[in-house]
Amino acid sequence: MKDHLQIKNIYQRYEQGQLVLENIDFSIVKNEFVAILGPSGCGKTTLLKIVAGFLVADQGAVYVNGEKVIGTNPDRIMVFQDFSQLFPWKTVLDNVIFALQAKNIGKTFAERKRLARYYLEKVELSDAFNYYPHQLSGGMKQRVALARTLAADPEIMLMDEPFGSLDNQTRSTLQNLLLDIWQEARKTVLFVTHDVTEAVVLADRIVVMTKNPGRVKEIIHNKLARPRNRMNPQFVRLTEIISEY
Amino acid sequence: MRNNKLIHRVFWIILLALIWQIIFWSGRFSPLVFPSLLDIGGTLIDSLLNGELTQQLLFSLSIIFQGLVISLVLAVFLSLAAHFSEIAASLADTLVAIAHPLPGIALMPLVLIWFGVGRQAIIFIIIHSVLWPLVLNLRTGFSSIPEIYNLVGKNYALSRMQRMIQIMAPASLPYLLVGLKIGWARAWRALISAEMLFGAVSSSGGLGWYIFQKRVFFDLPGVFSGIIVIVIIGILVEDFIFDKIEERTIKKWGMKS
Amino acid sequence: MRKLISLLLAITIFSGILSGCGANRKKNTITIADQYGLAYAPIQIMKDKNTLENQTDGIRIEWKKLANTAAIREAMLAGEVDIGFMAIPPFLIGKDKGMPWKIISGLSMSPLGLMTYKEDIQTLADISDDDRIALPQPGSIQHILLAMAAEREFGDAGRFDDQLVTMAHPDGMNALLTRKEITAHFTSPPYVFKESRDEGIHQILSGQEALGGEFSFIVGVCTEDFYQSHPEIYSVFVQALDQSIGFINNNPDLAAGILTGYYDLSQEEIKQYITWPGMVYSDKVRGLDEFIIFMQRANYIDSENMELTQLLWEVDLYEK
Repeated sequence: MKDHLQIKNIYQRYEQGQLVLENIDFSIVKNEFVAILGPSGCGKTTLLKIVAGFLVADQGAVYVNGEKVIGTNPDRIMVFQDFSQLFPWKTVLDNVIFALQAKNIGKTFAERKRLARYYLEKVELSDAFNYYPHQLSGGMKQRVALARTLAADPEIMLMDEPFGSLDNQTRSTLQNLLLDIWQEARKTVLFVTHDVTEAVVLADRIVVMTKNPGRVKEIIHNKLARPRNRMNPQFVRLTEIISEY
Repeated sequence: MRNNKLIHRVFWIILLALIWQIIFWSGRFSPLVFPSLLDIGGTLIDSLLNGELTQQLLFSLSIIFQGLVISLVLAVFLSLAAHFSEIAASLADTLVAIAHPLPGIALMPLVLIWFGVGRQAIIFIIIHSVLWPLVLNLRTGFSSIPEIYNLVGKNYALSRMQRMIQIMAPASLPYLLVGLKIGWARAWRALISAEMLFGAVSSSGGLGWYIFQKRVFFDLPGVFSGIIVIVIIGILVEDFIFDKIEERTIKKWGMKS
Repeated sequence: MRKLISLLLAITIFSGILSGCGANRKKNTITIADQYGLAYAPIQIMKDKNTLENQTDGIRIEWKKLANTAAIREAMLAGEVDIGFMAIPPFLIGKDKGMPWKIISGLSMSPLGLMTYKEDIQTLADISDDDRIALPQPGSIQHILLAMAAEREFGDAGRFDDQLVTMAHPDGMNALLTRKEITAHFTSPPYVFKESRDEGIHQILSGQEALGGEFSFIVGVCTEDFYQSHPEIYSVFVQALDQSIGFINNNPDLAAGILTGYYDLSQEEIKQYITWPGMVYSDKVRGLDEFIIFMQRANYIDSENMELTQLLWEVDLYEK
């Protein structure tokens, strides 16, 4: 299969000269779910920002469908960990409509409204259309962010620990929701996390990184069948193996 | 909650009015110093009905509105320029540092020489009173917009213009409103003082002029009715207009702490 | 309820304290207020020669110069000023509103003039709607004189009211001399003299023409309170004023010399001004009737009760 996203020999330094990323080099095929797993400070967020186009790497480059990435593109949408990624002055519905407008999806406002409702229903938020973000819980906010991203219909979803600030139960609910959506919508996903279980639950492949400087230590193929049961001995063993790194 | 505040306010106003009237009835003071509320009320209603006060009020309001609009446009341009360019930022900071602490009234002699007495002079004083607090607050507002909004804007390929209108404007609204409130309060005071000092053309000199005129004709109830109108406008604007705007925007959005 | 009672108690005490300020009582300090201008020259002479101080032992005399008549009137109402000097119309406006005061004496008659630099304005009729006229304030003698002239010529006392600009005399003179902002200035000495020396500036209307006769420009006024509680100071003051007026009239050279300390003018200039035709220092009060009749007719004052005994402490100073 042809590579959808190629990350080639990326080097990145802090302004003070300290190396953050050293020779990051891997590829992702279409519709693949890849998790980048590493401790905080290993540069995984920096890497994601380079892929998104928010940052330019000091060396190396990112290619999408063989084309070099220059700047941001609504075909690569980032979902942040920060709950404040929604616009507080827009209702839940309007936050989703924002993505449709930005990508010029839907001809009339009525059509956009209908589409926005559709995506919000997908993330199970049909009761909250007219709420403002400050009225939502953290989990609900991340659902809206997910719906907004889906509405923009990007080829690649870049997820920067989107469930990192949620409690355990909400987190696993949202992980399952994300998997359902991913399987239905078939997107390429690059998912950053420091939580081994999360990586094992979600990803087809897990890129394990170490810090100082950030380097790829291992790339693990996760062949566990979906849906994955967290209590399954194989699951537990894989988690233990990865935790060893 | 809101109603409570209103009831309290009405209670205190009635009580103060009552005290006033009791002092008047006590006859300890000449009515020249301490006029009856009935006289004040009568003069107020008369001069509102015969258009004397109404006309001056409209003049004052129209002039302050013009001043506010001009200041708003200038402040937005200056703050945007300062936000995107370091040279403009240091210029804006210097201008604010020089001009902000300067009371408008202190500029009066200069303004008289530059603009003469009249509308332009007063508008100039109003702009001076409003512009700097607005710039100051907009600058803070722009720089405290969470970076994540901009990242989202860039990610969804908004142009710089779209980001300004769709993100910077609503995101800095709480600061804009604070600036406008301060600006309004300063402008309203400056306006009345300027009108009293200038004694502009007498048919349209504004509320300040109305009070001045009543003063020189030794009409204390007239002076009080002018003052009452000033107070009422102040309360209306601060408690109702600004509160309503906040309720419908930043309070609803959870952006006001 | 208890709260309300204590509140009312507080109010009663408070108003009791306040009322103490206005009470009728003997004072150790007498405050005399006038304004800037050669019409007030006898006051400056009196002050300079200590005429009053020499005859009032144990009483301190304080001299105040206030910016305008309204300020003097308010200060007198507040009991801050005991004797004030002003033109007849502001006195009448105060009287009409119930101010308990009367005229002590006349002080001066003076040439007043409406000055302009515009060649094509020779009479009031030449003043267009766009022209602006500067004068000290509405209700001032300049304003009333202008209204009198407007009524006589056009049958409309308020004809120029929408064209008035309030300016203190020095500001008005500057505006006229620089030909900015205003086209005409209604003023008094020394400004009227200074302006008339400028080549392009001429007089359209004099005070006498406006009123149709001679009138006192400035009079001295005191409140009933002062008159009744300090009769001895009152009579000393009247004498001192008389002496000062006599001094100026008999020794204009010496008077001018003294006045150089109070005005930014040379002795010669001052002498020229205080002996200018129409500049008369006198304790007689003139023009009262004309002002009253006009101001009643034009609704500047309402009260019909303007008998001489109500207006002057000494009726014999009145001159028709």
